[in-house]
Amino acid sequence: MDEPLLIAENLNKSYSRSGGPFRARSAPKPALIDASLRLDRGEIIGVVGESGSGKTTLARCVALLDRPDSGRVVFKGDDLTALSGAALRTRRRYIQTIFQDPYASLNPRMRIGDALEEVIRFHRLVGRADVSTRVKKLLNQVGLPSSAASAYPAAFSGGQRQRICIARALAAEPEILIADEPVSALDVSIQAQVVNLLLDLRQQLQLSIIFIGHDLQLVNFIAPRVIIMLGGRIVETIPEGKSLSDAEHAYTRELLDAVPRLENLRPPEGEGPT
Amino acid sequence: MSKGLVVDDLSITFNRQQLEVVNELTLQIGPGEALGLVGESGSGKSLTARAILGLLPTGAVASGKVTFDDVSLLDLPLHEMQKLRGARIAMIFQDPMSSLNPVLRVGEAIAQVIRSHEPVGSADAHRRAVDLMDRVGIRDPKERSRAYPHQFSGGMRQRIMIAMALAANPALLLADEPTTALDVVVQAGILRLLTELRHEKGMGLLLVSHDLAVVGRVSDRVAVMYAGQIVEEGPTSEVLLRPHMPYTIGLIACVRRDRAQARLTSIPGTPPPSGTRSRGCRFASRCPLAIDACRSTPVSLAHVGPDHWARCIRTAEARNLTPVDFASHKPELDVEQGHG
Repeated sequence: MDEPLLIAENLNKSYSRSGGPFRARSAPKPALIDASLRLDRGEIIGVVGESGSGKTTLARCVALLDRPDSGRVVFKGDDLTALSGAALRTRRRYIQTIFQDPYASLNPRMRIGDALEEVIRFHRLVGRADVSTRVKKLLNQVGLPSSAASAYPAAFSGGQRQRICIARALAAEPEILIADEPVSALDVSIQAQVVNLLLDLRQQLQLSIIFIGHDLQLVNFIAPRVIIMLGGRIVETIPEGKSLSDAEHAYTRELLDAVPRLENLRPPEGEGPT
Repeated sequence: MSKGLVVDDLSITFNRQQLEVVNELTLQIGPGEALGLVGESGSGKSLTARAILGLLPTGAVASGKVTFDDVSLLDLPLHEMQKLRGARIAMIFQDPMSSLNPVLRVGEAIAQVIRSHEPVGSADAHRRAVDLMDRVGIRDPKERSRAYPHQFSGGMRQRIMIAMALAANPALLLADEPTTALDVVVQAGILRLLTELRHEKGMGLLLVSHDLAVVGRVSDRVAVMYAGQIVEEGPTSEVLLRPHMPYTIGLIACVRRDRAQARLTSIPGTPPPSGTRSRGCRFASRCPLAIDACRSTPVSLAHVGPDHWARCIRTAEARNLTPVDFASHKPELDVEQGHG
């Protein structure tokens, strides 16, 4: 299988900001400039950058949630940017996204089971009789009890909600999962649980994952290959097997140094109050 | 004489004392000192910070003793407390968007804080607001002072919140997860700023965070909270380099990124909700080292090193805990779950 599952080529995207009702539209601001990536089946690729670096825009364009201004997204041989309407919808099912804030991502008035069922029924993935079995299986797959189906989102913690969001993405039976800062809002002890779940799912389902984050070391732990973004451009790609400490771009070094590490902790000298 | 903050035996209860969320918590922050309060969501760390300024949600009651420069805070009349808030003790919260007035220009918002604490004219107050914005690292402060909160990024809004908090030169700053919503580069800038202010102005700092590494970068001392109790406390390097309590050891393992491991370390299970906490060690249900004695008798903080305390009866064994012990440990249901 030499053909990559997904190829994105020279994606560009600008957003024009409306200046409000009393101001003219400002000139479009480029959010993504000539970005390309390739993703193999079962591969996890990391995307790292600060807020505004274009990493979410890249993800949205790859999933065709936003249409790139130029460039191509080729998924299993089809150029998705050339498609629209029903042809695009049927293919978009294969690329699912989970977001940073699991509180904002779930409808508080919808039972978990109904939220999952909605996806399964919409895509007509299993027969009517098998829907509830499928819901239970999805919940168990993400480490939640079947009984979660009858509860509302309010009953769950942040980490459990993120599991539910993952289950809902899996309900569409995707081949690519885009995880946009899936653990940034979670406690450190819970972050590890969600990351480990994604690693397990990748193995069990041969899922390809685009993992977006701002903690370079965490992302590199999950993804052997990491793309570094700055100002809408990909400034460095760290290939599989290469150590982060060999990163070349100054910005990559800055990202690496910005995250406090226990490993760097030294007894504080002369740091006390003066 | 300035003694800073002394919290002694603080307990916080909900529902007419039915539900105890923080138990007998004791801590101190002297002038210029920084204490990091670490714990998971629901451990009671934010409530502890709020209790200091009398900002607990309705239904929550604090008991025990909290003093700031020998003034007792828990029974302070509201108008006295309002004089103290912002002026002597300031607080910043995690979410800078919902903490700022969206229809007030940020320079005006900062100037209002200055004028509410000091008898200065509006031109003077505005000049000082611009100075403060400059101080917290906002470029073109004069021009930016005329902008509204929505015109700033999350990191810049948090800087404005810090500028407002500093407007009256507080002796103590309570910072509740000030960088959790921000990206790493912005976070590094804010942590640096907090440290500078502390050293320059002798400001005390209580930093509440779930991230041990963040706390490690900023504070002199660390207190680790679990299920409403402090379970380990000591100088930062002592606690983080020589942890004694299995929970602290687990938390540290969680933030290590060792490429040699196939998986990240997590601590399986969840903290017991208040109301189902057992008499003994509250971490016992998730602890790979728990024995019957841990569950049956209350455990108190014991001296384990220089100025270093831990709430654990198995610290000798805990020294040899490895990440694998946590990963392979199956959490049990809490012994007294359902009643208590």
